[in-house]
Amino acid sequence: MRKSKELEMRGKKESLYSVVGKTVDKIDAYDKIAGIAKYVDDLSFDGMLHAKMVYSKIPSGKILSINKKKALELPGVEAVLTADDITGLNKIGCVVDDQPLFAKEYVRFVGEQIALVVASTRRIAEQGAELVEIAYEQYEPVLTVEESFDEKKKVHPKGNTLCHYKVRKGENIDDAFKKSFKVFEKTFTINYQEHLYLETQGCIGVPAGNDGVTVYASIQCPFYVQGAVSTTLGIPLSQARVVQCAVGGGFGGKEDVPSEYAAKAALAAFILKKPVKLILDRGEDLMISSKRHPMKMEYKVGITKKGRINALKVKVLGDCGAYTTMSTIVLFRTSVHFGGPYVIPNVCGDIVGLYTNKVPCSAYRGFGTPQVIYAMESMINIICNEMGYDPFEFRKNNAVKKGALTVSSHKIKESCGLIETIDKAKKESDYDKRRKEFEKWNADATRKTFKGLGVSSIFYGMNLGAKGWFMDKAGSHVQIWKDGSVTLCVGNVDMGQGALTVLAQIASEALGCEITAINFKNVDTNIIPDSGPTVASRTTVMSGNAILDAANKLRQKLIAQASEMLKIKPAQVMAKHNKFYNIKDSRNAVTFQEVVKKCYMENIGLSEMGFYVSPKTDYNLETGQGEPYYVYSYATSVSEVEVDRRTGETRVNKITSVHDVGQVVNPALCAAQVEGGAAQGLGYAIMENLVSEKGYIKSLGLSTYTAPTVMDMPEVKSFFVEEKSKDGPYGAKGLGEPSLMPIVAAVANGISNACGHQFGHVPVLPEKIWEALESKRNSENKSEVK
Amino acid sequence: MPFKNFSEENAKPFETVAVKFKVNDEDISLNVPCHYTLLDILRYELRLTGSKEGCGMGECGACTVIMDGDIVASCLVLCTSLTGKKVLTIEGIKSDEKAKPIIDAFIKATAVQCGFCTPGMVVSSYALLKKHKNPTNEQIMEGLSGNLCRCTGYVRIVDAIHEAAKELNK
Repeated sequence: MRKSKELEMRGKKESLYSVVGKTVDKIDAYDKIAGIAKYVDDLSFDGMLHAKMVYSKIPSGKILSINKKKALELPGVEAVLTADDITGLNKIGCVVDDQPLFAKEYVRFVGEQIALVVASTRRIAEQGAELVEIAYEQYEPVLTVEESFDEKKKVHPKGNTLCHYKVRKGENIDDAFKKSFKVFEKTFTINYQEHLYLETQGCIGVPAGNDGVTVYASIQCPFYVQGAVSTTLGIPLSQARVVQCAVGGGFGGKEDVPSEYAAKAALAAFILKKPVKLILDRGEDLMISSKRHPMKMEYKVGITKKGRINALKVKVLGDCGAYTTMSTIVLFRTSVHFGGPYVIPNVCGDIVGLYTNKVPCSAYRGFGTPQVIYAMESMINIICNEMGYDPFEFRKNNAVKKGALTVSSHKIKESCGLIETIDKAKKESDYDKRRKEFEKWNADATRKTFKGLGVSSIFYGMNLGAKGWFMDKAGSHVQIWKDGSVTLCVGNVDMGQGALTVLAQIASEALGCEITAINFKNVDTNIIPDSGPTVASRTTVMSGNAILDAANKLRQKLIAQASEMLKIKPAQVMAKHNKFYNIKDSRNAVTFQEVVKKCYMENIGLSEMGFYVSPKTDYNLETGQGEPYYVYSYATSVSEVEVDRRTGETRVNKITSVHDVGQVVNPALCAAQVEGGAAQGLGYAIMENLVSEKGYIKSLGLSTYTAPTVMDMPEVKSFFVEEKSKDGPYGAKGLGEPSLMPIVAAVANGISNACGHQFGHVPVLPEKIWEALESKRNSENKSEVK
Repeated sequence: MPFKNFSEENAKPFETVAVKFKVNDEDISLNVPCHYTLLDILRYELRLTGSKEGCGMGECGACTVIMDGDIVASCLVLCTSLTGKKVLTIEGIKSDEKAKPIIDAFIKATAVQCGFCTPGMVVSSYALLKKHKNPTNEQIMEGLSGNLCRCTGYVRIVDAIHEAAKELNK
């Protein structure tokens, strides 16, 4: 593994901005390194109790009785709470009202929560949970999407189809295929992926007076938790305060799911009037927390003689598990992204979300798109191999660009750097040279491995899009103190991605102060207005713009005072590098602190709220046509993989990723996202295999659910194309999810190309590769005998 | 054994055991429930919360500490095996002069994301740089192979250790 290549930012941008576009140290790095940063389990309150959940041990059935007696007799157990103890409503569903806080009549997956044991210690709570006796009448569970689709058994009385998105574009799809020069078909399947944030889910409920509760938690979405606590406890939102702790990774897994646990801890605190801590252990977290949706994806692609895609037919069955959670919105994203970033005139897509009696699936980095990108990009791999097309040329030939229409018929008006990412990925990966070298290598029978290259391109809609616009807002609070130090508070969360640092850069740029002057308050619903969730790669754009809104108001006030002090017109004042100065003569200057002091002497308020709303778009859910998102990020990745000819073991040797993210705010943090996304993507592609049998998850530890270690890491090279977005702060778009999205397909294509066999399932495990290579060898031997 | 000494554990169903050992050069003498691990003692009794619990099964490395010179997963060390041991945690390491280049290198290399694995990573890095003054890539990878990170892809952590080694050899 060689040193990562960082983007070098030179030239005009440097003169344009003083902080934006530069690598600055992460502002929370030292506290995290030194173990000072407080994660939820590091907090303790006087008289705090500990809670443990009681789970359904069957995938489907009716609860006949719940016997708490033995648990309550255990010394140290203070309470066993069930659905009957809920003071508000027994519902937790964030989008669709189908999930209870505690199962009352029916259980629908192994791990569904039935009761909460509260005790003086964590250990006693665990022992108490084992003593709660539940009697069931068992039903035959629905375990596959096929079973679910034919509706013979039902997960919910209303039926098994949770959502069905249709995309209809152009002429009748069968007629379109008739006009195709060639048609390709394949069905793909893809497994779960577990987020595996290093810090498991956890929260603490603390009574706040008689009528309220404060929740401290490891979360991405404080306002979701606030809503869930308010609903289930039956208290106003103003009495349900949520304070975010340091978050040990999220990746979507701490979007809606933490509400389920936070509401339970809050309920216990509310009833018992004592602080209650609920921390999941790793096995529980693997068993009950949401995952990435497994999908079955049927693809049919028609191309013209000139290598243009003229028709695409897709049917996706998504396994949503027992409850909706975020699935309807996840699969909406699937319905927008299944055709990739390509211009396709005729499309027929059916994206169906189905209930099963398994763990609910929800948000995960990429939000329902890495699966279909894998399928679409595999189709392109098949087409290029069969037709002898260059994979970059084929993609460019079909790529969206300014003025072109996406699969959703969204006419791209601005900020589209897809073609540049394709060109740069080809060049920087040294594709042509490496391909020739690999062909030679693979033809040499004395070699122990096969080598292959894989390519994948993606686009990703920014923010929450048409389906989530009603939540797509963000607030901020910026306060400048008398000494020139600054406190920021936003409503989105830093879960490791570096949001606080990037937002501090934006504030520093706008205010003209040093970045070291800026400090953050934890996200606190008592301070900041509802800012929607920390998801969809939206934080830089949303909270960044909210900060700009507040900071620009403050900047005007500071400039007004500075112009008086400098005796020049406000328009002539420049604010930069901790100074206010005359644009024409930088020697005529006052410091940021001096201007702030003057404001205080003049009683000018230096505290402002900011607010930003995502651009509204117009989309037709019936036809799947319109503008699903206001702008897109783009990327192209190339993988180099090596497969052992005898064992099928795979190693990813190199990943080159080129991303169009608009303005890069912090080059090192952007590169760090790309490297982390590469690790998670390659884990999904080749090793992370969640085993679920008859509704029971078998991979309940890190030795059975294996994620990449340092030993598995390839060299990762990252490059950026900066096609600015007019609505982003300084032109920025998002990167958190796009960093992972192309990797699965790029690695899977690399393996298929190395082996000369197109695989149709992810993860591509060594045993499957071995089987394929073995049967290839056997058939070759047979043909030799003939 | 009096159980009420315990800050967080007020109930009495567990037998306790006396442990005497050193943490960050301080003598520790405690009675703890006999199921306690070293990690439990560090976090619950001594309030040294820099060592994290990521799995409780010795598989993730977030709880890594140095015991008698070797790195161990503190979640796997039972309290009964602690007597006479010398334990060094992130809280002890962070104030060691020799750790400063490691900490600085982690900051400069942007090697930290969510930070939950980071104290354990720093402990492993500290131990590996004691063993190898000029570690090769392979030695670094071996030294970190017990520490799982889900955010960074490890690239910058490896970079940081190379940089720290350079600084320490100056």
